[in-house]
Amino acid sequence: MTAFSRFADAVAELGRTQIAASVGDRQAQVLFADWSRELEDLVLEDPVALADPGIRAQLQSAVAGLASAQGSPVARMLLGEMISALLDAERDVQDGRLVMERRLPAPAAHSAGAEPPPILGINPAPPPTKVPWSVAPNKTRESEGHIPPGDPDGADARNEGILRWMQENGLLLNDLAGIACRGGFIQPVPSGTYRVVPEMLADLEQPIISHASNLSIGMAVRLSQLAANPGKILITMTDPVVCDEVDTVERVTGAVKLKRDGVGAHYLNHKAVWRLVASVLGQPPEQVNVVSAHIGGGSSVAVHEGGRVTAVSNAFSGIPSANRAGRLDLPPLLAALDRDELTSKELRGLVFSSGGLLSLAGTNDFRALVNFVQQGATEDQARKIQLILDFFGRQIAANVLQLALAERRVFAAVLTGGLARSEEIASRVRNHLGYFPLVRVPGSFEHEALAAGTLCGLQSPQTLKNYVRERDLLADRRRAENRLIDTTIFAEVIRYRKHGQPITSLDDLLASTCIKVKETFMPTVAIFGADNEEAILAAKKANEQGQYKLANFRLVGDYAAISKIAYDYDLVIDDANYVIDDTDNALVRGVELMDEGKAHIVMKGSYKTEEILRAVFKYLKGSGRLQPGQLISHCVVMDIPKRNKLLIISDAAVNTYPDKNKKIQILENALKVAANLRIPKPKVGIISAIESVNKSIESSIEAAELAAVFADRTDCIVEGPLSLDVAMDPAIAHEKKYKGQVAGTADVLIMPDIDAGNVLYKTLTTQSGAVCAGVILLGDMPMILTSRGDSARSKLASMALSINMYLDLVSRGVLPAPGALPAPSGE
Amino acid sequence: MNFSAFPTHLKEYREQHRASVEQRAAFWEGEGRRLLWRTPFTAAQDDTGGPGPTGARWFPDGRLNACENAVDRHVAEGRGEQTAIVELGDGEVVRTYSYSQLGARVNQVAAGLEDLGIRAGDPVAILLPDNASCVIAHLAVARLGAVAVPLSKRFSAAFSERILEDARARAFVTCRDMCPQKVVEALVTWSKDHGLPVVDAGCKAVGGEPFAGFGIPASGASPREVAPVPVDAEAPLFYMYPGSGAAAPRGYVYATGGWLTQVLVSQRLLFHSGLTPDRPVRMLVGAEPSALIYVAYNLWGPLLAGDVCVCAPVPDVDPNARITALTNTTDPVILLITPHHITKIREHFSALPAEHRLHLVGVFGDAVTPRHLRWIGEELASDVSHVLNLWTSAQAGCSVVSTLALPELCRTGALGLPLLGVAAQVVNDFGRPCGTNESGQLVFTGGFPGLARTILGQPERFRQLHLNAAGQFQTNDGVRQDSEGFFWYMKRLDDVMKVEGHSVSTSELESILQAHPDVREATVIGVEGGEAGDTLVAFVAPREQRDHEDPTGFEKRLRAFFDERAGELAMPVRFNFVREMPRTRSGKVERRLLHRIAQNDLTAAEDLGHLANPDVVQDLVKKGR
Repeated sequence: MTAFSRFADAVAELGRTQIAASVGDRQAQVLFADWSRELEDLVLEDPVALADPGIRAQLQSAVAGLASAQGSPVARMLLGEMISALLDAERDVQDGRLVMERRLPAPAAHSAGAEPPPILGINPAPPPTKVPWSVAPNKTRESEGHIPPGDPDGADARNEGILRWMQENGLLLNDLAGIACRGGFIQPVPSGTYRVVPEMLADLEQPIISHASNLSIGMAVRLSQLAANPGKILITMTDPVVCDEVDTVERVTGAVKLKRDGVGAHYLNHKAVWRLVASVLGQPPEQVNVVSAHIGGGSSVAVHEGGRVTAVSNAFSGIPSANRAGRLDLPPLLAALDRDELTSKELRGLVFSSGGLLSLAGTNDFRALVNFVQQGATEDQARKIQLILDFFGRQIAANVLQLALAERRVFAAVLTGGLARSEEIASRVRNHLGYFPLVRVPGSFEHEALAAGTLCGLQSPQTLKNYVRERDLLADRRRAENRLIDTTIFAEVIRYRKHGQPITSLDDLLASTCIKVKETFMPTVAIFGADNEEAILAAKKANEQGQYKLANFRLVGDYAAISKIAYDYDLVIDDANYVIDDTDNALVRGVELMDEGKAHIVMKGSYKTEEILRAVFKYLKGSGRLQPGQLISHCVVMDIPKRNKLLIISDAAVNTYPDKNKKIQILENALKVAANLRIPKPKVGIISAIESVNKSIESSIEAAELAAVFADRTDCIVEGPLSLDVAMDPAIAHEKKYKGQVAGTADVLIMPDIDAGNVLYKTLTTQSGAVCAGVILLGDMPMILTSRGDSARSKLASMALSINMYLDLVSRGVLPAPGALPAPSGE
Repeated sequence: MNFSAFPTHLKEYREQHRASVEQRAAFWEGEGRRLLWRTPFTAAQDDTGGPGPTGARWFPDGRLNACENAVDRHVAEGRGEQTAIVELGDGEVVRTYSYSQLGARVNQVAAGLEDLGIRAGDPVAILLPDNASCVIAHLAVARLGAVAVPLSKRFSAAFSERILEDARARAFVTCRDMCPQKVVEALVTWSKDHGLPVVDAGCKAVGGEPFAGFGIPASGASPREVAPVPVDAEAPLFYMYPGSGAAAPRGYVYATGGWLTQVLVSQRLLFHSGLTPDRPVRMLVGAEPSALIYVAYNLWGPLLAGDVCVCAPVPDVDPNARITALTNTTDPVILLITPHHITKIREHFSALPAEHRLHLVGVFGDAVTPRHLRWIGEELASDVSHVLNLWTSAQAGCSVVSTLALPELCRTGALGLPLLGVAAQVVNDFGRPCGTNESGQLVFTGGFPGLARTILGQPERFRQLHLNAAGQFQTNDGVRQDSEGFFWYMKRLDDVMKVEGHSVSTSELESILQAHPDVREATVIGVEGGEAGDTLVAFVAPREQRDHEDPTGFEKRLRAFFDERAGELAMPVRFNFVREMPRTRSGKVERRLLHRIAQNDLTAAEDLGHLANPDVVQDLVKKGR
């Protein structure tokens, strides 16, 4: 054993010295070559020697030495090689008994070494193959049975094969201490060994995926019933494919409707190799974090963190495998689906059975592929084969690295499964994964792991897990996580806007207002009669939906009533952003606040619109802020789907049947709104029933007169009379040979009277899905008015519109800046 | 009486408050020692009653007599000639009692009661008008170590009879001339039928001679000396029966040592801070003598502190004259009234001269708005900061949250600060603390000595009703706490409905439903009805395992469960099963919405942006359709 110990010493030295590391590395490589040769010789000479405790201790110390020298890339490489070599050597000893011992916890391993009780394992594969096997004292016997094509398949048919085989091998059903089943697609549970219970059979009646392994539980139950004393046979299931232990972050995808989970990996083998690696290192598995990649017909990657598989790249969505495509890029996939180059059925095939190597090379047999290079491949074919191997190597390594996050403190990567046998693949993966020791454990340990599970259950029944309990606990947890993931954050989508863009939608308006508030100051809105649910909800929304807060609010009215609503709707009265002004008369107090400069914008609450208008009008007139001749009017800004800009309509709410002079003021007010929306030269259509003056239609005469008043204006284009279609639809304007500039592209519509205005406005909101923002202009002062019928978006937009207008007026000097007063600071 | 210096600055107060809560036992030990103990206690509290605010026993091994603390002590310490009670008629002082006089009269009545067989621990029902007789009766009962059971004249005779039964009263002290005579007569008859001795105090108005002759031996000699009987600190001092919210009488029990300590602390903090310490104040409480606040601040509080109890009508009729009469003294006068009184006073009020302003006005009972408090400060009280917003509840025993009469400790409109030794917090529906200004329920996270101990004979119900899932003592008041630490009242969380002639509190019904093991949460909504009264609709979220059960089967079981426990309380007419309650983002159950759903308002699902789980509502409304 001198080579073993020399190597261990050299390795220990490697860990201690930082100087001349390359010399040490070279030396270690040489010594490792000696070591592995000696191991090989030993195994050839006397395979059972490996079971000798003395030799095992020496091997262990070499591994431990190397494990402590993780700093050196060579040490990392050698450690991987060494564990691989050791497991490889142990594998054949006594039909894998050494390997199975490693898989068991220490006390169980001891007694298993003494005399393992006979256990039957059932691991059904897709027809026509089935694989029953058994551990009798000191050896494993394994066999496959085949059901001829055409014969009925099922639990009973397969069981007959097992019974026949047992009889042939002199095994008695009555001698069995346990049956180990593969499990199948029952409901998701955490990993571990479970006692088989009837609920599993019930869950298998509607399996997640139908698969041959679903048969195993039924087979085991029926077999046990044939025994003389069925109660004596312990039936277990270990680490089924439906294990699920991933943490919450892993459940999220970029599409809220699609959630991931941990199901769909070869947990049995992942868990087995992780335990094996830990046992070779001589540490409890829970303390050894590794990433295991099982590559074969299906390939999956799992990270073992503190004993749990906290993240997984499952067998259908991660690495490509012999039969499955793995992760696909979505845009080309969508394009292929769109162009019918791919049907959803074909896609399903790529995902589950005909993708991966089969799709790339026309075979799912790697050996055939590699051998073909020597046996007649053309130069291009040979190059493609290299390309495919590169692709697989890189994908495997990338998936491993993806799970090997720094905080997971991954110690090693393990390559396992059928394809791990391929040196072509393994060497490529090893090159990519210089960061970790790469342990190669080709094939799988299904049988040892299944039997080990049952053995543990026999030794200490208390370790067996309760399926129903674990299943329900997990389901509860997942449900809670789903609720978390489905939690609404913004009910209405808020898209990021860049500064200074033209305002073409109400969302733009909101964004632009937020920025303006941020850049200038936060105005204070006084809600006249805030004992009103609508007003409070709107005030709340104003400060939680945009990028920034929109305004401070003075809630004027009865303290008790306002408090009640604020409580119910979680409005935070913080005496800064929201202040309650307790008063008997909100109209008087509201006006007072305006006068004191403590409030800047009026918002309607529980009072009637007329009452508020009267009070504010009186105040504005008295304080000289409303010039003689200025008018109160209402403008509504419509965001109409399919239209690429906003539309202002006036007057649909305040002035009933305005005469020409009033209409001039209405138009002036509407132009203020247009200016606020940064419409450079608004096109105004004076609406009538027709687009030429007709003496019998009064509105057409008035429209023409009104247009004449504005004819000389350079800041706007006013045309009338116009019919609605000519003002709104360029195609119709063209067809009707309308020569004016408005021609279907109006920014502002001046309606003949309140009836026409209101009908148009309500038609648009109720029938076309338009969203609107309303504002009342008292001369220059905007006033916020939302009504119960408005949608939440529309209420918010209305507030934004008024605030935006107010800030504009202040910045243009039309309204006094609140500078002299203690300005409510926008935090 | 020695009043140690109280903090006058907010920072100082908050520091002292934090210390008093963190070292609760030490704080209350100090306060407890202000009382006169026959057997001094060794520790302020033990938690043998279990965890949580209701688990503690206070001053468990101490023994004392309440009457001795309120009367004898002052006489013994040389304050016998100080005024104890002032009876005011409609304009002038009609009669006063010094502490010595009061002691003599109490001794006489106690002797009479003793002759009737009343001993320590015996409940004695008291239904008396607001005059000295009521104060004397309470003191006499306490002198014997017996338990006072105040009855309200607003209770129906039938309800009072049930109280007499529930409390197992051993005597009934009343005044046969008082209103409502029919009720009094009925109770007297009932008492006689049930072998209860009836004592007639015999003076319905102020200025009379209460209990004339009662307790004086037949020979006419002066009554014998009745020594105060010491009782355990945890022995009940009185049972308080609230009148509304429950169909069956429910007697809250207050422990002698703890309650007296608490009342004395609040009497000092509320009414003496900001005053030259040793000056007695005159207290008038605008509440019936059976109300807890009367018992606390028109009776025990002032007497313990050596202050003056005023028995007089509330100055809400002819306010200027009455207030002038009330303030016709050199003592500082303190008036405690309800918001309803304020409204009435304002109706006929004209400005008061400065010398007739009240030293301090406290508002209790209902929520009061800042503008009303401001008015009091400007018109009634001597200063804007001399307006207290007193938070009281039947269970808390006395005021434990209030503004204080110092400029720094008063915010007009605020509910105030938690008093020293009281751990109050704002929590959300899950019992987790709310952030600054976030609204939630006011709860007490720890016990304090004045807290009611239990409901007579129903300890389990007491915990069910008043402790939330997190083990905090709930008040059912929605509040917020600002950055300075002041609480602000927002709304009452408990709806009291009139159903089938009974007052029913929704929180009480909810507590019954929630006691069912398969119920995760329950909300009961009252829907205002017409003449038939209101109807109740229950929303129940079953525990997850119940998801699959047939709802009709579950409803049947729930109804049976409810029937068994609710007694005469009304059964909800409809049960709606929900996955979970619709909640706002901070976790409040959205009752407004449930109310609309209960009324079949199918537009309820329109604007749900403020909810944390709008999908629940959509489900509910779909079901409704």
